[in-house]
Amino acid sequence: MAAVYRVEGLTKTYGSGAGIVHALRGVDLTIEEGTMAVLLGSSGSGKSTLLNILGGLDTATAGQVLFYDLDLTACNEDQLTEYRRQSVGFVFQFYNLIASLTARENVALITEIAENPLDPAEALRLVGLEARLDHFPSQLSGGEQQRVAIARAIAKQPRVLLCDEPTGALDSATGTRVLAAIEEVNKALGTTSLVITHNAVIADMADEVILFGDGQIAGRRRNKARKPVTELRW
Amino acid sequence: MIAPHSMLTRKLFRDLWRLRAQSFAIALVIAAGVGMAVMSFGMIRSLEATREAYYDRYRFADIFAPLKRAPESVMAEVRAIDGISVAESRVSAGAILDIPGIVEPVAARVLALPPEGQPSLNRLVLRSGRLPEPGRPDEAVASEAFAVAARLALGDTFTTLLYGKQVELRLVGTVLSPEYVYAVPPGQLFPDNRRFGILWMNREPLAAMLDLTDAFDEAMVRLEPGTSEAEVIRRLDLLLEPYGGGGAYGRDEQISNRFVTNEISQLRTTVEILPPIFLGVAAFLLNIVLARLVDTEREVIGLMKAFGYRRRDVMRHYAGLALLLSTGGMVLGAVLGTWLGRELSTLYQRFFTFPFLEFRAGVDVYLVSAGVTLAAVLAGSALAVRRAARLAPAEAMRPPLPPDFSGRLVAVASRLGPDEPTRMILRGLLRRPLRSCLTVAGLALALGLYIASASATDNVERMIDLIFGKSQRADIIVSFAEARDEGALYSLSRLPGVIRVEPFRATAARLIAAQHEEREGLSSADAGANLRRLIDINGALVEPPPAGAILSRRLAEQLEVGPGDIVRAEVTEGDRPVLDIPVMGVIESPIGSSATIDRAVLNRLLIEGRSISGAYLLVDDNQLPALYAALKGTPFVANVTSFAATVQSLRDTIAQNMGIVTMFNTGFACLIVVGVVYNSARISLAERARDLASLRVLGFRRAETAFVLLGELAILVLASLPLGILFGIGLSRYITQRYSTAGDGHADLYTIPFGMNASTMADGVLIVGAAAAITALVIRTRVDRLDLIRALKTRE
Ligand SMILES: Nc1ncnc2c1ncn2[C@@H]1O[C@H](COP(=O)(O)OP(=O)(O)OP(=O)(O)O)[C@@H](O)[C@H]1O
Ligand SMILES: [Mg+2]
Repeated sequence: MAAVYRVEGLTKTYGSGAGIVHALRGVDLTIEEGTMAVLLGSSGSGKSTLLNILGGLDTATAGQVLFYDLDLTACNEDQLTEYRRQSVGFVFQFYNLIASLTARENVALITEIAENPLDPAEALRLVGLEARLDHFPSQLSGGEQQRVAIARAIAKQPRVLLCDEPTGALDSATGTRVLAAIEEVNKALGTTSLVITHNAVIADMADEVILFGDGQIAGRRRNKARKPVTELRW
Repeated sequence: MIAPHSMLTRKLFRDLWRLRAQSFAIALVIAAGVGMAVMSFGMIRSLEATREAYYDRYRFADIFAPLKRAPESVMAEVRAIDGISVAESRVSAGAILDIPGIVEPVAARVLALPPEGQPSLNRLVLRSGRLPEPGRPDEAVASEAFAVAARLALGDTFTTLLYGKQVELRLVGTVLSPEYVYAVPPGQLFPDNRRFGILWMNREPLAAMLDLTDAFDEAMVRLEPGTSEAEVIRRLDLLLEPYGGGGAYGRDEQISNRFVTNEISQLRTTVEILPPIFLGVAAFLLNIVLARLVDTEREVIGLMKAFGYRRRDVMRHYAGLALLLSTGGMVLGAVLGTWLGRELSTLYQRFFTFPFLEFRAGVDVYLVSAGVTLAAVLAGSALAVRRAARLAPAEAMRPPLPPDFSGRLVAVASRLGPDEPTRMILRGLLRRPLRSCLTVAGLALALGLYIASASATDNVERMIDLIFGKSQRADIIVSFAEARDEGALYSLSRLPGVIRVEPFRATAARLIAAQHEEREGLSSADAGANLRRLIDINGALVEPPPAGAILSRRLAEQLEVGPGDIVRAEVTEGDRPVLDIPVMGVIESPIGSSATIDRAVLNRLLIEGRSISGAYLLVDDNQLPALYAALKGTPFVANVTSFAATVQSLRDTIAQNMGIVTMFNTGFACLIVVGVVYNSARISLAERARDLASLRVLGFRRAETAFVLLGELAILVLASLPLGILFGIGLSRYITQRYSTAGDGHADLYTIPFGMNASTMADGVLIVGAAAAITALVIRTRVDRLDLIRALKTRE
């Protein structure tokens, strides 16, 4: 199987001098195609920083990140934009929906600029929102908003789906529904998925669990079998 | 009001610093409003005070009573009229001067000085040299502006043609007179100091030349306080009627004073229009900036309240911010206004010759301007401040829901727009319809302001074209000392360089209808004439009717007559016939008020042969010197008015002065556009930063992202264009009308033809578009620098 990401010696620092913060201190990591990976770690350990660099939102201080053959660390802003546009789906803790667009339009926003998109209604059906197509974000619950965000992320059939604490703002039942949607996408479309969480229970749904601590990978483990999301309880 | 060391004060100044660019834009708009107010009010104040002091100190007459000839003994009767404190007689005449270095004949008004030197009314301000010595027939003083323009130095001599007699006069001094603050040649609108001058010489020699020894042709009086001017005028007319008088008039009809009054009333129009526009725009900008601030600070406000700050602390805090925001603008405006006022008074001194004209606004002008601005500022911030005060602590602490876009108005737009970004734009606009409308209104005001001020120049150009292109097309007007037979035309046509000669007949008369009475001449028109034609304000040719008169609208209104009515004309020359003339038509004419009659008809009414009063000449420019020399030597020619260089110098003067005003107004319009566009865009950017950053995260390119923000602006700017054009046309029409109506309720001096040049409107659109585009570019760099990661970390 091909590696989607190949990360070598990735370092990220913020600031300089006495106030310097080492967010990432030499991360080496390979993620295989189709993997569902969960990134676990304490607050401030550098998970989001890693994800942002993988997603082309942030740039590394040192080290190399390859997305297939594309060297992300050598890309300029415009190239990163094109990379995000073509290959990456994002889901964030605070949904980041556009308030002035309905659920369907939020998804269409992305499918319009994608090369081989799903139909927006189809993407929303995949996350169980076929009944709320024409609702504005202000008319949706948090969980529903997050599922719209997932539909938006997967509708362009991205190569990777990057989720930063997708359930962070949700209760357990709603969180489960959101994770189920991610699981469904991973299975149905084979999208490589990377999910950040604080919640160790969620790790059971992954093929691979990456433990993060103090800007470094503290450990990795492969689950022998993925637990269906519906069986997760927290 | 603001405790100096509290945390809130610290927050106030940090907010101010954070909002500095927006504060600056608002401050500039406020400064423009305050500046205009200070300048205009201050200038009105200065002009009025200066005029009053000048008139008072130099004893400007209250009433002028011109007549033909009265023995000096009549003055005793004049002095006997109740309510007259000082009365003085004088003699005066039109003259033609031959000034070395000026080829064309120079027209002059020559006034007599009494034996004691200074007259007791309309005293002179001596600027250089001295007054003529008693008994010297050859000494004269001239108005300073004329002496300068004609390059006459003390001691210079020049030939003066007075009633067919030639005298050599020597310049011994230069003076100013309250009678000639605005020295405009008869029938014209602008001073022409090179070709029109005022001279004063001893009365005795002047009277001798005019055959007015021991007689006078004008009486002037000053009234005792509390006297009825109208009553004295009536009694003077009665008394002087037998001597060819009867047309006494007050200061309100004195030509120089009328121009000054007219200028003051135009300044008033400026104050009425401009500062309110600027202050309105400033209030709107403050409103959106503060509303946005309160929105983003909901939690802070909730926190303050939760910790026990009172409502009024919160109100004070935000109102204080608004006031601080505007203080800079006010101070800047006061400075700007004072500076503009000084510049303006310098400009005025080119046209209005006061012995002193100092721009002094007075503390109250500054205070009132500041007060009005404060009111506008508080009004603009009231809504936002109230919202902050009303915010319940709990509500403020709750994170806001995503802004609601499910309203009906917004939903309408769902079907519009080809793609999602366009929909974001439309819905963004429709969600805040009031703000969108106000933004459009602000931009429209700016455009209108530019169009109105630029078209003022167009209108004056149009007026010049109208007068000199269609109506007054002669190069030279020659008037005779008294009416002559048409045969005189022949000798004129034989003068060197004369291409075409057309005669005219004009006579002084009093026009009477019911209780109304106007001193106004009767003048002739010839069907098929080429050099002088009767036209209306639209440039349409009006042929003289076979009987009766055509009146200008102004005159018809004064007399309250219309077509079909009869006007009685008491002719004040020759056999002084009294004529009943039917009004055949009323036209709107660009300049002056007049009664025009076909020349043959006028000759018949006056029971005379084919008499003429003068002629219009079309001449060959190359032979002008020879022609002028010949005219100066033609005894029956009393006056020569040359237009050869007038049009160009008029255009230059106007281009220069209107140019300054238009430049200022263009600057002001740009200021408003930049202020409105910049603030609107900054607010939109702040409100949408998260959306825009999300778009970028999702893979939208920088240009695509900027489109959402700038598209919104573009729509607002586009929507403002037609409105701005309409507003500009309306404003221009209003100003034109106000400028054409003298403030004193008397017949106006001129009517400005109203029109719109497509190029002026296009310029306005370009200027607004360019100002908006430049501002948009500045904003665009901010879109490019959006912090993507921060947008993901925070809620709304
Ligand atoms: N813009 C920034 N400037 C300075 N330091 C930063 C910045 N962003 C992140 N950091 C620091 O980098 C470190 C890693 O941050 P990061 O957001 O990746 O943590 P995380 O693992 O995602 O934490 P959490 O689980 O709380 O989201 C933290 O110590 C953080 O303080
Ligand atoms: Mg994080």
